[in-house]
Amino acid sequence: MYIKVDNIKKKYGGREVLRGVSFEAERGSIVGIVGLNGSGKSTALGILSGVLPGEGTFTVDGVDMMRDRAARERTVGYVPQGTPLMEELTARDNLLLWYKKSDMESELERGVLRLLGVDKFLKTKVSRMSGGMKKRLSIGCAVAKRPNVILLDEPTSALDILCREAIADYLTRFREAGGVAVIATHDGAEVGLCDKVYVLRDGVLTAADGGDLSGMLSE
Amino acid sequence: MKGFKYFAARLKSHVKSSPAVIIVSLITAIAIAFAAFAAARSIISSEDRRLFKIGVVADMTQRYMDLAFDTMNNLDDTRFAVEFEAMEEERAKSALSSGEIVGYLVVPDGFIDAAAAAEFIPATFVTEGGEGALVQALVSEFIGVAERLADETQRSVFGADRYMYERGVKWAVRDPLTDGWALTFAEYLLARNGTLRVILTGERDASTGEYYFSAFVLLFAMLFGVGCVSHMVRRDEALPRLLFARRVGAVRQTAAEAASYFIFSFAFLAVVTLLAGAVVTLSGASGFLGGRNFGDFALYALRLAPASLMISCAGLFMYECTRSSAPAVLLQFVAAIGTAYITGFFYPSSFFPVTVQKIARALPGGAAFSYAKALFTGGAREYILPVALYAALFFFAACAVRKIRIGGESQ
Repeated sequence: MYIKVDNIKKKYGGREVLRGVSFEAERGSIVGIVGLNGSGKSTALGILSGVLPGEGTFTVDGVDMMRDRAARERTVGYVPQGTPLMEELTARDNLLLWYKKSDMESELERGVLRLLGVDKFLKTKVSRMSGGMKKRLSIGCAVAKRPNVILLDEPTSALDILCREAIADYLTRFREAGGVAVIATHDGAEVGLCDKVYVLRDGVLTAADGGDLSGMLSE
Repeated sequence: MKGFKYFAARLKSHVKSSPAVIIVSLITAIAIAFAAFAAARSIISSEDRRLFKIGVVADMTQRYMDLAFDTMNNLDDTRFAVEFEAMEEERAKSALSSGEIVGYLVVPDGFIDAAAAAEFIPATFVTEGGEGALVQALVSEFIGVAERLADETQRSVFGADRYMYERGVKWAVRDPLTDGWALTFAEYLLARNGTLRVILTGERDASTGEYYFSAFVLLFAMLFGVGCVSHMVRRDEALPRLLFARRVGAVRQTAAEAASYFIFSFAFLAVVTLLAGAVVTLSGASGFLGGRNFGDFALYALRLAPASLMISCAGLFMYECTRSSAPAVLLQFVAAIGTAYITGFFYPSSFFPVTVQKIARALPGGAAFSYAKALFTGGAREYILPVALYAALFFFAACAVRKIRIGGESQ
């Protein structure tokens, strides 16, 4: 297996939010983590990205990401919920925070930034962008290191259909290129993109395996 | 390297927000200064005003000394509630050092007789100098009372002339008498400037001009935070979390933000200080600020950096504690106005009870104000340490809140 997540645990105060989350994924796959609001999806991705402390192991191609922060920075891209952008600056200024200028230009010409359509609003201030533009730019910023694994926290929530399609198209190509995307979601369309879906409930992750998601969540 | 890129990006975002920030800050600072000054003035002129006790060292058996005391007690009708108490010089010295009195007046022997002959021997007002603005205000009140007396005396000279005219006193008799009185009165007026000598036994505190100049620039620095709310408040943790995932930790993030915010706010503070200095210099009012020139104000602006750093760090901490604009504006505004009021930006803090003054001086705003005033009067180095300690405290508090927010519960 390319990525292995084993026994991830997290407590807030005395409350156990994650009680041993484990899953695996092959190269070229999209994994969906589905759960109700407050189920711990974002916490799980936060731990895998290194933003939140937590117990357990997370390896990518045999390298322990929980211990090797430099490797994790190179290998894992993280798109947090919300907008990791500076509102007063243009898309270009925001990209330059994460990219070298030459890399940004080549990505805009024929790379991921062109695929996401960021080249079309490069000089627009973030404060004047739509939600979809912001989300595409956020993904563009998060994948500046060309990671093999991307963790996306509800990437298309509250976006219009065109934007959803642009992001879905990007994820499909990312999968075709051998990358692994892990998506935390409660959106049916995003679930449709996934090769494997897990349900997070009461801090425990269970494989959906084509079962009735609504039923599993509401049990 | 990423920390530096983040710092540069933050600085750029400040620059792009600057027009709105300048307008909001200037309008707010000027409006607040006027409103608060008026409010403070009305509060201070109420019955609750502080009583200032002044010792009088004089031979009380001198002729007209009672009259002199009555004159001085007229000060009670003005802005001050002043109580004069006769005492020996040694007792006055110890009362001054213990803070029981704000100063003492030494009236030399023969003062009244000399004054009657328009041959003044100067009286001496001795004070610690710790309340410079107050001392200056008191001295100007002394002079004000003397001027009112001079007015009345002038009227009486011409009243006497009219009295004699109405009773048929001939011009040849009347004229030399009136001229004689008028000349004596003129001598009295000319000698009056030397009547009072002020001796400062402690360090010189800021003059009224220096006091309010320092207060204005610091008030601007604090209210600057209100203008910056729109681009400083973070509504979610996405950017700090992404930076953290890219190995820019909470301390480096906060340091980049503090540095960029400090440079931005200090640049504007320096410009405002220079503008105010230019206005003072060009309007010919530099005498109000000890005859300082534009170069002196430029140096003053540069040396304000530590106070600006502390205020920037305090502002950053407050932004860090809020998640939306309304509470952030409220917090910045209340902190600025509350600090300014208690520290005495609008009216000399000497008018507050001594306990309030002590607390205010120990607070961050008080430390910054003491430092800013000392840049005029000397001894600013003494105040750098508390200012620097407060700056460090606010910075690390901001780092701690950032760390908590990054690691906070996600859904």
